[in-house]
Amino acid sequence: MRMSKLFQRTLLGIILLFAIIFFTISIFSGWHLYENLKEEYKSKGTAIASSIASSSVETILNLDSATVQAMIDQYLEIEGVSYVFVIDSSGEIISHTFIPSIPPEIVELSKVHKRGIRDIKIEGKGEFLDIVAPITEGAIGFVHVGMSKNIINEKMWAVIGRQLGLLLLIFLFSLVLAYFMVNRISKPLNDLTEYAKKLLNHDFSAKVDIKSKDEIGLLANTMQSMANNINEIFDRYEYALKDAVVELQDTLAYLTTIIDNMADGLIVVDKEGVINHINPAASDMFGLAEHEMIGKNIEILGKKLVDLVNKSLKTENILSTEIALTKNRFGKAVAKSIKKEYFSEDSEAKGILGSVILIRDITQEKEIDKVKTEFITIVSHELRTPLTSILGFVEMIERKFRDTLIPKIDTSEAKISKVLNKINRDFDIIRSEGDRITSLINDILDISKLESGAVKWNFEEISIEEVIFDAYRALSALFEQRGIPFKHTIQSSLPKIYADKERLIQVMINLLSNALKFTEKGYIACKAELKNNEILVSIEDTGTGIPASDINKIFEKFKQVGDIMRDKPKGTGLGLPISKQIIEAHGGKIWVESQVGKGSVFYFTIPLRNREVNKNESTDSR
Amino acid sequence: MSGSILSILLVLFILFPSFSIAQQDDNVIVLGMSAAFKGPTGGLGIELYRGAMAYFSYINDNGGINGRKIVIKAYDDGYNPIPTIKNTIKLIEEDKVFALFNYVGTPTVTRILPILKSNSDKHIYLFFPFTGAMPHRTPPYDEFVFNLRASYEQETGGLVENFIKIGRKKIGIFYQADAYGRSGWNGVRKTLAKYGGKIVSEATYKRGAKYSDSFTRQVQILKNAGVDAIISVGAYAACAAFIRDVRNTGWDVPIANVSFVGSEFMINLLLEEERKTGKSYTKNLINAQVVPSYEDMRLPAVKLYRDLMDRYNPMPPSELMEKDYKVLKYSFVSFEGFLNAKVMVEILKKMGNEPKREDIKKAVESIRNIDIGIDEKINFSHKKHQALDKVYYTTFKEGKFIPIRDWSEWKK
Ligand SMILES: Nc1ncnc2c1ncn2[C@@H]1O[C@H](COP(=O)(O)OP(=O)(O)OP(=O)(O)O)[C@@H](O)[C@H]1O
Ligand SMILES: [Mg+2]
Repeated sequence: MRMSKLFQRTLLGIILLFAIIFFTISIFSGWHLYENLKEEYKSKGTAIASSIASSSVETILNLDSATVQAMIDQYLEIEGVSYVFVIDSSGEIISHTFIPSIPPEIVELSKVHKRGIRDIKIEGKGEFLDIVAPITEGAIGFVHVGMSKNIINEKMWAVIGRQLGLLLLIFLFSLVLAYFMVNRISKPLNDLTEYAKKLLNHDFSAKVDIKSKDEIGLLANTMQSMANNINEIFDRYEYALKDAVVELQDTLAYLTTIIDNMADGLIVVDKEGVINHINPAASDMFGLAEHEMIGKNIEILGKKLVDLVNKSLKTENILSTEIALTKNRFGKAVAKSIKKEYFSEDSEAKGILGSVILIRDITQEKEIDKVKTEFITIVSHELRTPLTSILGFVEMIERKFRDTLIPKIDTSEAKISKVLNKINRDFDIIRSEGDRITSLINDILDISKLESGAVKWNFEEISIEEVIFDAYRALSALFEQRGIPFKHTIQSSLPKIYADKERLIQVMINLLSNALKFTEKGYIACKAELKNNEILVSIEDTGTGIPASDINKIFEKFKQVGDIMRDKPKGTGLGLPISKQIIEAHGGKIWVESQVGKGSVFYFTIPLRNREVNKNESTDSR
Repeated sequence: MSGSILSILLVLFILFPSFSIAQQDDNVIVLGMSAAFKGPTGGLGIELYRGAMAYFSYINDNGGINGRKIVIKAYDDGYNPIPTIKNTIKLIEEDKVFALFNYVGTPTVTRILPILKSNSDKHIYLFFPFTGAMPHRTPPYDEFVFNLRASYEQETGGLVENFIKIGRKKIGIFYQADAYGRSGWNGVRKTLAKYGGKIVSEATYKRGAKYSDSFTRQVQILKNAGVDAIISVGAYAACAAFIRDVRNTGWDVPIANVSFVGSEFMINLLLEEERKTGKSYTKNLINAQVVPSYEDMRLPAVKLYRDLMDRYNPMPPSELMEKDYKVLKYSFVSFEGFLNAKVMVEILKKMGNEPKREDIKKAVESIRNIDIGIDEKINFSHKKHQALDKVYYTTFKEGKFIPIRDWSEWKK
């Protein structure tokens, strides 16, 4: 039987208490006995001494120490008497019972101790009470009786020993009794503890068998009904949970169906880059079965996706890249990191659980784009070469006409003069239209080069201020001609940027010329400043403005705002797309804010530290 | 019916006169004896009994005292006072003895003296106890006791005088711590006081000590005091052991013992020790005796003693003897017992046909100049309850105790 800790401690306490009580009682009774015995021995010794003293007068007077000896010998038989000796009036010990000789302590004592009781310690013999009785007031002698304290001590210890023995026996008996009684109380407690442990392990069906009517029984009953209540509640929750689970499963199945039926491929990776989830579209795109992808690292799908995932895991931005798929297909992969909501802002990266990658098959778009670009290139070349020779011939004809024919022609004739003027005017038209077509073709070539990545960049340390002024200088004649003032606010000591100067001038010229083109009166202001580690340049005009519906279109190729049929086209509509390509190649952005009738502000940014920008880089930021 | 039983009893009485109911028999005189028959002093009681019974048997064989036979009713007390007291009461009240006779030992005898006094109306007297102590020689108990032998004071006094004569004045005493020892001690002390001396050193031992006990502490006490003679007042086992331990230290100091030691017992133990160890233990020993030497064949009593001892070789009842006890053919003790019996017979003879206890005292005190075959005459009177005063000094030589004629042998 295992006894509960509580009872063990209680029992131990009782044992300790008992031990203390036993000990105290024994010590006390021992001491009491000692005192009593001492008193008894004192009176005994006194009685013996005075009895010897009173009856030995005559014998001592007779100098008969043998008779005295016979008398004292008798008293030696009395329990507790250790020695007896008699001194005569001269102080000589005439009878004694010492063996083998009178101890020196006694010789000393006999000289001084004449009355009463004294404690004496004899070496090798122990302690004694020396009791003196004078014989005839000491005139004849003294009787000394030695009562043994050793015997008192022995008796005391014997009694203490016996008492302790008895108490111990009683104690052991009560201990056994207590053990069984305590166990009777302890058992239900143990049962209850066991029961509580079972409850703790959610075993609510456990039963406890305590029928007693005391507090423990009450407690057991209470616990039992509590357990029943909990059991019921648990059952109810279990049903609710089952319902919820079914609902959840339905929802999940629905979502899964959606994902599985998506035309776009879906890949989910964890933060280690291991593929967690794919849909059949993705499986088809990579020509791999589901089991060949799930659990594998994303690297099995190519370097571009690895880079995409790695970048995505470090940012919350949506990243994209184009990748090659099987069966000569192309895809656009868009990655977005999955972030756990409850992670704090500053540990953004740590909160990222993985990344979701959506892949769209863009084979067709790609194909069309390619065809278009090729077409434009071919057309441009086919157009420019003959155009250049046409223009050359025109120039040659004009020069020959002017230098050779005109001096020989009589210009005084009105009709001829009229014809000459008409020819000169036609030459001008041919030249200007030729220039326009050349410029158009150049632009088309330019954009197609930029789009196909065939452009050679010339990055260097340059100042944005120079760019602005070089562009203005190129257009200053136009500004004067139109009578529109150019304002500029350039923040002092702007840091240098790493950029292609000629290309930026090209952007600047386009923006300024656009502004001039659409502004009748007012002004054009240019501003450059450092903002968020970027150079922000703005070109503000007070012109016609751009309707909100057209704002997004103007950066597309060949898009011009307004009714082209009715309005005379003032350009090709390639300036802004080219500018966009250039700015983005520098890692910057270009956008416009405009209000119709009030004017427009074009902005572009150039990041300070962006040397590695490459148009052909697989990813770009939006 | 009752008549027939009576007649059977009558026949039994005639056939076995000393039967258990003998004390009621007018034809028997019962003497009560309590002595050590067993234990370390047991030899004393046995030999004393044997010596006395040798003579009583002789008397009984020759018609007894006026036709009455003398019987000794003996009990063992082991030389302890309490059994002695019990035995004495039994002898007086149950056995209704005629007189007490041949008691052995001082501590035992001194304790029965009050019994004698309280029984004075019954006229109980103690005859010739084997002790030289003073309590029964001095008031108030001297009137109930008759002694044959000299006192210990006389024995030790004589020893002291002789030692002083030969220049051994630094006398030490080894004694039994009781009335017996104290008697000897007192004799030494008193005699030394006469010469202006004192006991130089004393050592005691407890009554009942055995031969196997060690006495080296006592030896050291005396040796350290530098005594030049030792008077030993004890029982034979202790005294022999003490001598053994003295000699074992290589100390050849003369050691004198008193009569109670039972010279032969003592010497036998020492001779046994000599045989065992090959050392000498029996030199320079002096033994005081209160009876003449049984070797002195000039004395008629010696001749009769030897003759009767040879003839009767009496033994105490077997229950009073230890089985391995070896009797002494002759000894000072049995010779004393013999002489005690001889004087007792003389006393009884004087009491006529109908000896009565109330007449004892008168009979004894009227004895004058009786010759019992030794060179001293026996005299008692109202004042004199001790017949002999002579002390004989012997030493052990050539296997015998011989009288010391010249003390100069131990001269310092
Ligand atoms: N500052 C402006 N104010 C009003 N509309 C503008 C402004 N700049 C551009 N636009 C509109 O955006 C169109 C596209 O401009 P873009 O520079 O691309 O082409 P373009 O100037 O017409 O031709 P190109 O620059 O090729 O000679 C313009 O035709 C015009 O409709
Ligand atoms: Mg333009």
